[in-house]
Amino acid sequence: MATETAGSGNGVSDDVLVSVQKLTKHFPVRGGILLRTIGHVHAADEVSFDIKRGETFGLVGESGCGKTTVGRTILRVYPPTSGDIYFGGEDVSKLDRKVLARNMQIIFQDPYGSLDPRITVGGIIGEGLEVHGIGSPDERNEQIREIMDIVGISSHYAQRYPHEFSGGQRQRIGIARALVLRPQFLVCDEPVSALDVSIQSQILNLLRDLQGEFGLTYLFIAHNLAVVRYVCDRVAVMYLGKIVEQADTPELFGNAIHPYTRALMDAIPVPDPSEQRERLIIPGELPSPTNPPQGCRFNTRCAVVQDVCFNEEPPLRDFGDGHLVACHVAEDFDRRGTALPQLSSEMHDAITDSVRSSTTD
Amino acid sequence: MSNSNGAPEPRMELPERVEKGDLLLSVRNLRTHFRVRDGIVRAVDGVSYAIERGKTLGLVGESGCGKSVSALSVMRLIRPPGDIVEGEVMWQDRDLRTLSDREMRSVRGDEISMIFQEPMTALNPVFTTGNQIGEVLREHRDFTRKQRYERTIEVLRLVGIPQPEQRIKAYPHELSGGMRQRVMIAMALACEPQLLLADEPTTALDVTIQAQILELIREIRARTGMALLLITHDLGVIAEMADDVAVMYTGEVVEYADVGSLFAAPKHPYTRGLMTSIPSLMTDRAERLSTIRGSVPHMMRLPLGCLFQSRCPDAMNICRDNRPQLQRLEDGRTVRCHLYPQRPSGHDGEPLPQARATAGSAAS
Repeated sequence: MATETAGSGNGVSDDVLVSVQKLTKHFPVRGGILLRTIGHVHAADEVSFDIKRGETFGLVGESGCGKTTVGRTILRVYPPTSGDIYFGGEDVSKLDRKVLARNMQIIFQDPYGSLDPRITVGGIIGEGLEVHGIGSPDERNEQIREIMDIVGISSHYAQRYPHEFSGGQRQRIGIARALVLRPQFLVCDEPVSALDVSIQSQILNLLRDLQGEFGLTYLFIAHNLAVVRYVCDRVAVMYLGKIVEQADTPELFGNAIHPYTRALMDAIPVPDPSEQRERLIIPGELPSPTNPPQGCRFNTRCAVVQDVCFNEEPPLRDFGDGHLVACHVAEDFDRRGTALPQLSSEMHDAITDSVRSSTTD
Repeated sequence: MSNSNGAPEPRMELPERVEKGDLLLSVRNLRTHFRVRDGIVRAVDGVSYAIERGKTLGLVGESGCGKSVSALSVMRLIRPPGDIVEGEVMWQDRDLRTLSDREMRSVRGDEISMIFQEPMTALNPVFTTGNQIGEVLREHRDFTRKQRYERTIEVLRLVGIPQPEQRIKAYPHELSGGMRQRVMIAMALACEPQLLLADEPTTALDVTIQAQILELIREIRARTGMALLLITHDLGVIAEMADDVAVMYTGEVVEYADVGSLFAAPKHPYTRGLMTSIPSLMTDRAERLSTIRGSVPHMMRLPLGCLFQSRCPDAMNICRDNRPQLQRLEDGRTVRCHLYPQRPSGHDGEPLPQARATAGSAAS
């Protein structure tokens, strides 16, 4: 297939299903008696990426990094503060909500909170069909039964209520609900992190099977790097509202460059007691997203921080084959296996103090 | 259906090495049941484990397997409708179950402390951190006000809280999740306990903060020689922290071994399933994940025989009606499974190769 630009002339090529361009989302923080806006949470700042048809694109990061906000803004749950989102080459903000809903759906983290307890499972799954006026009641029931069988819930249970099901089964119901309209694109927001470990792999396999069967495209949002590595074709790592690194999965996990990505990977406990490793533990915590640090947002915790990191925000630069990194000193670490120096807690305190004094100037 | 007619043979519930160790805490045949409207939930049903001085025991299992209830039972923090119906909780040379409430209070928070997944369950929102740590010291130590203050600052510093002189005045809601976890640990460590019960201490935290807290616990353990009971569902955390591991399923210990042997060669089909089904950074991305089919049975509708039978890839005919006993294997570890020869007194315990072929019949 030739790489032809889509009709609307926005530079989105044909093999891209979802294109996110300089997406920014700020949430107002209100305070005082009059609840005036006293600041903004910078949930996502100029986030850009393309998701190709049929692939699984991963967004990883810790809580508060903005990954969920990005997913929900793509679905127009919130309007973006600025930036554009294209779906199949069309500007999402100009598309009808119903058209959007038929093409993009979401599955949530919490299989307990995301299903209405007063509606039968068949009702929950079929609600979308009803809203969109698809088929006669009989045809709808047929479609509900079909999708239930596909996700592995016996269709005999269509008249039961959510509380009668286990966590794993509820997540299957959530998946059936999302798929009944046969969307092309699914946002999976932490789909397995609330499930028991023995159930997680069942759901991950199911998502993989469904992708093969229906040619689905996934945006997979998660904090568990091992899960992301298994599921995703390409991965973007977010920190405090910014993408700091993005690459194909094998490249990212084999040759992570950004100090934050490397720390994140080091932090995962390895289920092998014979492996005693030197790990890089990054000190400190996520700074407040209402007042992100000047320059590089990771500068308060970074082991290799330089003067420039406090003044200039590093742009995402391509290190070859689409491996993007936003780090001023990345060149020094673009070597497989180069150990990063450990930042001592004294050094960390010194940095934090200097940041504090520089921001109060 | 347990055949309790056997004479009190040498105890086989614990791995050989643990049994011979210098035991600080030894839990034997603990049963904690909850009487609910529809019947009895046997949350902990005949659990035995022990912790040697200065060692770490990992307790692994999924939600509802009884791992937290067993720790709460040790602390005697079970409230109605729950009740410890049987068993022995030996703390050095005393059975904690026989202590008066007053005696128990003097053990709790002093000799044994506990930390939880959600720090807000342990912290009182209307008192400052300094107040709450001071309270522990007031309960257990004859300190002057000044000594209490100094010790509070000292433990806050120990757990890595910056500017403890400021934070001592902070209320829990003014602290981040990681800082609250540190304050709770500080509270637990104020009296230098000999044993810390840590119930999913890092599950609610981000990985970089989890790494910090685990490192902190490791440091304190090395410095004070404190023993640790670490409850978690994360096998990675277990591999990095534990000396011994007890794997629990539906209220029972199904496998108990030192961490090296367990990870090198898991014996119980459930342990094997847990280890192979979780994606790790080494998992082959092209392969399907292996799974444990089905889900944990309802605690009030447990099967007659092996509790894992409906999910077990190796289930045999014998598993349907006979609850397997914990067996000690040749290398000293213990496992509860009919795949391994049962106690010599039984004659029908041999795993039959042809029985394995009909494994499918035992399911559903």
